[in-house]
Amino acid sequence: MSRFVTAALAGVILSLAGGLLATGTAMGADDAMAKGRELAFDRKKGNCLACHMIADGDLPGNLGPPLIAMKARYPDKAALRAQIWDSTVSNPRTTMPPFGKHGILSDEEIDLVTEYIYSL
Amino acid sequence: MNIRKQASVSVAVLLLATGTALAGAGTADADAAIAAAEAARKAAAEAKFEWNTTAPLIEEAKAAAAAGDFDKAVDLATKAKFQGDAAVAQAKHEAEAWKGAVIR
Amino acid sequence: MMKRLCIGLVCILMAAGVVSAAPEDDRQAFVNYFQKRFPNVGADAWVNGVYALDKASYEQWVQIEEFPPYELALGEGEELFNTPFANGKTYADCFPNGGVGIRQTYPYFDTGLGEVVTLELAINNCRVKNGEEPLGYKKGKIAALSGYMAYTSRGKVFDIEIPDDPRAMAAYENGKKFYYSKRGQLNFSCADCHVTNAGMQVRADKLSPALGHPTHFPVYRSKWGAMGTLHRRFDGCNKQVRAKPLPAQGDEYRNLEYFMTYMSNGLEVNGPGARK
Repeated sequence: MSRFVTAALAGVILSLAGGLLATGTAMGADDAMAKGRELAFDRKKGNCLACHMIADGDLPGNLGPPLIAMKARYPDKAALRAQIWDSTVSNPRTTMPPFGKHGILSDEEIDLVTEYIYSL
Repeated sequence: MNIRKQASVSVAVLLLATGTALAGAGTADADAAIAAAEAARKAAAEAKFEWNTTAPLIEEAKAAAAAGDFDKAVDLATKAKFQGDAAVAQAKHEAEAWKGAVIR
Repeated sequence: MMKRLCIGLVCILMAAGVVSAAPEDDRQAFVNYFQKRFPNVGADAWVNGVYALDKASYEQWVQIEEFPPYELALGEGEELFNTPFANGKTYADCFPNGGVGIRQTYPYFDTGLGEVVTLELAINNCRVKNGEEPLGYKKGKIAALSGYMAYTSRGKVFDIEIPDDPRAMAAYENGKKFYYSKRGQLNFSCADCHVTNAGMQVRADKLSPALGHPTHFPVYRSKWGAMGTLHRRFDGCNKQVRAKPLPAQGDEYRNLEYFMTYMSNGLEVNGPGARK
């Protein structure tokens, strides 16, 4: 929980600082977004496209819903992260792999993927 | 286990822990972590739920230990143990949960 | 009163009845599920696997079947089948009806052995009984032999029986449990892909329906560039969900095949097949 509080605080500070120091912080966020996207597309990592349509991804699968309007679907980013970490909590028979619970992605990797997916 | 033995084990553990904190993992840490990983993998195999990612991690951990990279060995073995434990948990969970998926 | 009425085995069966439906109820529900989900697929078309669900790839597949990639293996299988062992006996001596037109009765529960016997297991049992080395279970000669035996059975209707024996029922139940249990790091059951998500796309691949799965095995699979048995396919499926495969022709996979083939009762043998 404190992770989220810290992250949220950091986010606030970053966005405040971002107004003043546009270049430095913007680069950091872009980097995180690029890494998150890379992990999401990597077949050995997130492999999101296997089951989800993503705007700029080729040959998406359709087992899961398209990854669009994520902020509307998950007003709380932590809920999206929790869904990626272990979606069997919200639906015990879901087909979606529990990326965090089964160590498919590390916690850091899940943070990055969450950032990226949340931007869709 | 008598008190003296227990005490000496505690001292050893303390020394190991201090050693780890100061100078990274040693060969004993790596061996212990690999043994724990192997035990977890075996438990998963006995439940017929072993993952195919676990044994390769243990092999990598052994190779890292052999090359003297004990930190890496402990890290990999810890991941392997996590997987073995998770597979056993999965087996226990599915022992009942599968019934909810049957087409009726 | 109830207690006095049910004794011994009867009691166990009554208790079991509460948690598990009879296999025939399972099969009916299975068939109904797929027919409701894919109302345009004819009752006999499930033997065509994924091609039953997709017209474009169906037409490609029909063309492939005109010059079937398993033809070489069929020739090899026929020759193996007819070549006597060192002791002068042949495969025909081990099987009912000389081994011709019998695929539809495999796997069966052997009440003498107390276990499920698949066609491939029966082939190796025959070899060992006649002093020959057993064959590997996933590809090569075993697939050629079972492919040829399937070919002589084309058009026959699968008729898997579950004899009145608690061990047979347990084998069926274990296969069913395996089918529906999530496994591997990716946490998928067989049913997750081939029941719940049958017909959906994983990237460019359409997931084939469970109904009719065993009818066309063994198969020539383009991805393998060779023939393979059903247990070879199990091996691959388990790896794809990052589970360590269990031994081909071990208890688990044989029981799994028993359950799956029972679900396909009433469908025609069309093996060997050609698959992507």
